[in-house]
Amino acid sequence: MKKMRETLKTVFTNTFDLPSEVTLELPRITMIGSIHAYIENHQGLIVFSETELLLKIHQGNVRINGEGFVLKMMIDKDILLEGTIKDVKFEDE
Amino acid sequence: MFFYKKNWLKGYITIEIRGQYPEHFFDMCARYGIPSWDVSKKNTTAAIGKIKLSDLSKLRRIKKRSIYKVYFKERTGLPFLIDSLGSQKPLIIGCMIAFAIIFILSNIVWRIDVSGLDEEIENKVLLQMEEYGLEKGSFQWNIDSPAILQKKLLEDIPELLWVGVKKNGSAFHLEGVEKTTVEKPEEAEVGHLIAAKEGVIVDLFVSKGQPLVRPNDVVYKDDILVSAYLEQQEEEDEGNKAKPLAAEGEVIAKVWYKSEVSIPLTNNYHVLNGQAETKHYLHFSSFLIPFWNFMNPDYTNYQMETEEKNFYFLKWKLPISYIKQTIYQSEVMEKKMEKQEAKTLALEQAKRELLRQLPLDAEITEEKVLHERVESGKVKLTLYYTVLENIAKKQPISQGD
Repeated sequence: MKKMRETLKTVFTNTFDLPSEVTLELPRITMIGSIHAYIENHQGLIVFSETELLLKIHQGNVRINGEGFVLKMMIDKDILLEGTIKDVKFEDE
Repeated sequence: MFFYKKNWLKGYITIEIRGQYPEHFFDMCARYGIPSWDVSKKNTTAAIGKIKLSDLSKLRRIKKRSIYKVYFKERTGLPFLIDSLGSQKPLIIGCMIAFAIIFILSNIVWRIDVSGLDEEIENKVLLQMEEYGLEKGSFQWNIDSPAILQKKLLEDIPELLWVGVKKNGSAFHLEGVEKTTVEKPEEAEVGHLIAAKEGVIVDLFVSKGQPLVRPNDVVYKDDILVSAYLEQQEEEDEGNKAKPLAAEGEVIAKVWYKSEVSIPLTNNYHVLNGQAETKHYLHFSSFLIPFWNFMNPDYTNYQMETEEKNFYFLKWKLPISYIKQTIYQSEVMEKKMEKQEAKTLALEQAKRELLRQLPLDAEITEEKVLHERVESGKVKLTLYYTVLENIAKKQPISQGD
């Protein structure tokens, strides 16, 4: 049932040419070089430390590793991360 | 950055969260609509971040529901700055004293300039001003307005032809023009003396000229009384046209005047009975704020007097002024007169009016009541006066032709 709904959503998005992050509840991650990462539409913060940021996203997590992390801004579903970003990993549930 | 500037104006707080996974507290904050920024982790059990001052109450609610401990580290921004200034009493008192001193000094007269006058009269003017309470160092609020000062000065110093009083901030500028009382020798103009009015000649005092009338002659208006040509006959005999001269003299004649007066039998007077209430107001732009004597006297008839004083700060007029209002109770007095009383009053009034029209040396010799009647509450009199007065009037002869 859940799978069917996901497929329907994808088809819907592709047919009407809608931005995928809106309909599919996917996060949008904007990065400026390796110093800034702007994550929109995440679903919660799990771990944050100087070297790591773990965010819950739709169907999984996103893990950002690096150094000297500071959350420059935290609004409802957006996070602006500042620091030296080494890698961004998507992990399944 | 705009975000930071805006928050500085409204004030923000740096908080420290202690507990396991302190970052979860900020996550909760974000979900409950409290934006936070500059979040960093100090160690595994402590994190610091910043939130807006206006979100403080929401934060308290979240704090209650969580296991974390919240410590307030720093308060930044304008509201806190004002608060801290407010707690520094000496600074505030100092500012207030400074403003008070400036305010008082702005309301003092610092200089009085007098221009356009002799030293003697200038001193006189300054002395007179001192009498009005205006001198260097006196307070402006005790002084009348320049227009009133101007009027008073002109009344009290007869040597002044005109004086302009101008107030320029804390200085008074006076500009005066002196009366130059130069005695102009009256140029005797060549001409006859003619009658200004109809009358019967009583007496003649001619110092220059040829009188053409005698006592008991009846003269009409514009008749020549004293001619400018002497002994016309003889001079004409010689063939020389006589040189006219300026006739001078007085011709006293009996003149009759008829006048009508009417006096109402009942008169209404407004009389102040000494009862008065003084009210004090502060006038602030268009508001009138009473600050002393709030009572409104219940006078049915009254007269009101208002006086306004302005205040200055440096050279600016403050929008506040002080108004003193005095309300005098008045009474209407009704006076009823007898007919006889009204008649004497009417006679007096008619005489006064006549004397006002006549020259000073005129003399009323006889007074007759021609007609007397009472009509719609009024006494009406028709009077007849016999007056002795000088009726001579100069009529110049043009010498051009």
